[in-house]
Amino acid sequence: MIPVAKLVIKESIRKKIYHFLIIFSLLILFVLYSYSPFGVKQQTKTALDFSLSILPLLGLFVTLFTCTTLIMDDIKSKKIYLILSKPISRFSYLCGKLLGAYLSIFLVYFIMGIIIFCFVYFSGMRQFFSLTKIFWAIFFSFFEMMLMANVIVCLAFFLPQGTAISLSIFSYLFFHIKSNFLKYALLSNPNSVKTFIWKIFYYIIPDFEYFNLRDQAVHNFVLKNSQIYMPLLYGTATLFLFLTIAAIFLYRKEL
Amino acid sequence: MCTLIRITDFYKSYLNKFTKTKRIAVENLSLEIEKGQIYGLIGPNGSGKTTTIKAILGFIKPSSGQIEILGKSPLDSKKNRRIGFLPEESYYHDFLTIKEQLEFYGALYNFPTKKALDIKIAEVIELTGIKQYINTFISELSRGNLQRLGIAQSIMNDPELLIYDEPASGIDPVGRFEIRKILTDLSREGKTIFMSSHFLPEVEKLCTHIGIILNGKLLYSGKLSDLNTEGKDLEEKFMNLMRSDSK
Repeated sequence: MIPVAKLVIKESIRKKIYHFLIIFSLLILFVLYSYSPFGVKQQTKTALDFSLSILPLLGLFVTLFTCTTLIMDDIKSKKIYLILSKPISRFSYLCGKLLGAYLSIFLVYFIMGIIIFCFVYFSGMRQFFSLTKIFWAIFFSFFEMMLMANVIVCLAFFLPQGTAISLSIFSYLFFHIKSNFLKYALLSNPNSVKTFIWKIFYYIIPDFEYFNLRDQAVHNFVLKNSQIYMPLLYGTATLFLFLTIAAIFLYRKEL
Repeated sequence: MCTLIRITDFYKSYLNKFTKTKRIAVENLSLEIEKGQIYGLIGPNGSGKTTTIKAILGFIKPSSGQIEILGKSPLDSKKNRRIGFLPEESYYHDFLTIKEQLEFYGALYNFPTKKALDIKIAEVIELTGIKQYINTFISELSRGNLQRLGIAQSIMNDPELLIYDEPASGIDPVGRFEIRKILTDLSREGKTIFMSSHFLPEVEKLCTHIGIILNGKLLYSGKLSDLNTEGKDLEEKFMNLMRSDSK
């Protein structure tokens, strides 16, 4: 499992588009921070809000870039033959691939996280922000991307690459706004069949709003322990659910 | 004798989801590969050779029939510790050098130490004649050297059974000669080789046993010498079998 994960990281690092993404995002942050004079609380807040908003977008790009071809590329190019003819099970191979993808995404979050921390720390407005809350906001954004990685791998098994990318972006947005759909359905007609279907969907489809702690970080709102442990538990369960689905797809796949 | 591969009534068909038609890839194929044999499965393109190899390695599941390899199911990944596989085409990670690629495959075999892995890599690149290209990126290698890399990765674990899919495919005569020499040496070391090929002179020079497959059906399986009793060469015999089957 570990050699496969290492190979994914090596591939990510050696692909130039990955460098381009990191440089591009650093450039955005640099431009943003140059226009936010230090010492002004509101502008520091705006810059932090923007950074934490752009982070998932960058994360999503890297996740899409890494994960849509993560396994299907090996299958199409038949590289998988030489891997699975070694003493490694399909499940270990899948776990290795996903672990490598998580670490590649983590690398981006790590670099961006350090920049955001440094910005807040040296802004002169540190007393108005909690570094712990900023850490949890960044961490859960990363956690969201781990979940997305599993979702994308599942979708890529049976969809062409372009469709898988489009559907992944749609899924990401939908996972964030799905609770609003349910609220709307409940308001319009609480006892209809449509509302019942929405309720089923509500419990099946992941809710990414659980992982959104941006407001707590930017506006320094209260962060309860349950707002950390519950999403961690919920996210881990969802992560394993999608891992199981991906494993079933891979075991059934004729290579 | 010890049977390393046992295939009983292997049948594989594919269903076209659009036309709803069934295509039979392999039909009731049965064969046994004993220890020490060099078995060549020969047949034209699309006859079912690669499908059989894929099923032996557990990449595809039989529609019906039984396959046993080294006494285990093809889906058991532990059996791969004792197997070396060379696919028809070179399916490598072209962003790696030969050394990095072999280190990756070696890591999958879980060598006890890095030093043991390095020694093994030095040994296999020496044997296959790619020592001077050790730090060359795979994307820069010729077809012949890719095939040598393929053989190098297949013997890293010192396997007792080698499964080669068209080892001489796309190689020039010099490369074919060298690969034949490597395979002969490996056989002398006591390794069992199961290979597919449509290059008959190669099979004739190398194999002790052959199987002839056409349209998914095994027409002959046995000693090469038993087939070749009337003074005809393998190519002629092969053509006769094909003609008689098509009648």
